[in-house]
Amino acid sequence: MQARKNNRWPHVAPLVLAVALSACKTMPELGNAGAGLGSLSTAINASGVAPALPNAPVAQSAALSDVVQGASAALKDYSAQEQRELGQQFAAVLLGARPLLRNDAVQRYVNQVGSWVAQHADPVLDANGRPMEFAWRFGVMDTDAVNAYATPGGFVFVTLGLLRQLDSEAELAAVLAHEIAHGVRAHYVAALRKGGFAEALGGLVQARAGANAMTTAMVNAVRTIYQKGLDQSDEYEADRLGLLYAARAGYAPTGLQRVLQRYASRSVQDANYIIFFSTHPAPADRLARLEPLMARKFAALGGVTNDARLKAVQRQLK
Amino acid sequence: MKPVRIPRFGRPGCWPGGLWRAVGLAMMWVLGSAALAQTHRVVVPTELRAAPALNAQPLVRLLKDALVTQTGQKVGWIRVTAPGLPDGWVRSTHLQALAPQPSAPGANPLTALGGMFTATTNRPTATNGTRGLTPEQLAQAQPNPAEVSRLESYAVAPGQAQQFARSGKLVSRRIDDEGTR
Repeated sequence: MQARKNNRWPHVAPLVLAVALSACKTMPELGNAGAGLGSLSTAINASGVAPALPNAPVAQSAALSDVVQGASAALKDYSAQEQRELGQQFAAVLLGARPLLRNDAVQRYVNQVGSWVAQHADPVLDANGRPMEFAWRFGVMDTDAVNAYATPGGFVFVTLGLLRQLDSEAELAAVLAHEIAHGVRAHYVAALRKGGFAEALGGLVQARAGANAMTTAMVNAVRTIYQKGLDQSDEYEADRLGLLYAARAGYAPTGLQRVLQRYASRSVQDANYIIFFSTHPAPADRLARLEPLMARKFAALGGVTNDARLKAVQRQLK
Repeated sequence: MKPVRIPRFGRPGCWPGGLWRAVGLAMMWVLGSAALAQTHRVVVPTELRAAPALNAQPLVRLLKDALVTQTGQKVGWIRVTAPGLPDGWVRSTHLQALAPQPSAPGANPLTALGGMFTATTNRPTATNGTRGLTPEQLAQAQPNPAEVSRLESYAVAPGQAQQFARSGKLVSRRIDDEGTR
């Protein structure tokens, strides 16, 4: 699909471009911008149509400042709906690389496990401290590659290659819980902020207008994030929180350890692990960081593994 | 493809030349095919199983790059053997089929002759590649919103997830987040 040129807001396009050109310079200063600087809603009205920005070329510095500061604040404080819209765009790119597995029973099973675990995740709070509800969705991507992905706003994906390798439902829950933690902690929103918020602004503006097409800049930003991966600190945090969420849901906390041990036994040369190893810390390091938790907090905690239920689903895989 | 010159068989005046030619070609095809068994390379370490099912008894673990010879096939599975290994089944997605390799020239004249018919494909060719996800594919991914819409059809309501948990004997536990942040 070709990204469509946005002809509906002739005033916005040059602004977004200008923001993009100035992003590197202004972003560090705006990282701590106050919440009172305005939000994305200042650039998008309730009807979803971008308001006219009168005299934009003349008052360029003032308008730029508003938009840049507004974007920065919005990226810090996305609403659940805004994160959802971003998540749909992330998911569209990911599923453009590989589609969903065509097996309804398997997809529903993964959604059931994921939804149950997500009910035990920490609440996501908005800028005013109110809990945000994510409509969690889980999907199995039809690829032999071994990996799992999250997006902003509650989309989570595991690959068929990963699903085949698991030995228990507790291991699947651990993987999903790790990805849920990325969503709860808004790690992908943070990645967007670090990668260039101007692209995110352009993508969100277009999504808000009801357009299906994504801007080229947004598509490129999403591709880049999935190729580069998140910060290592985000991965370690997702491990710790994922361990907690799966355990709260009643699963044996050893699930994550087992998955990581399996990863550790794989070769970095393995074609199906190329992206995984290039975007995550070494499994041995992740295991080492979990060790204190496993030795103390979770040491005496049992739990359900549900091996047979997962195996029954695996038998349905082509 | 280069035209192949068909060798003639038989004695003139005994059987019609065309019949001899047909018999000769059939023999070459049968013997040649037997000698050109399909070889696969293991691309994903996996279990060799006693039957074509994920829950079938694992016989031995196959390491990456191991070469095995195909002896049968079912949907999604390939029956293989290798020196020192029992017959068993491997998921087809974990194997990469290599083009048939003829035996050494001269070992069997008919086999060597049969090799003439595969001369143009005598090089490693991936005919059963994995459905991977490479950095290149990610770099070129075009948005597919239809797949996102499809995902919505798998949505599970909270109550359904709770019922699912009960059926799996899963019970919620209160665990604080101390030490996990």
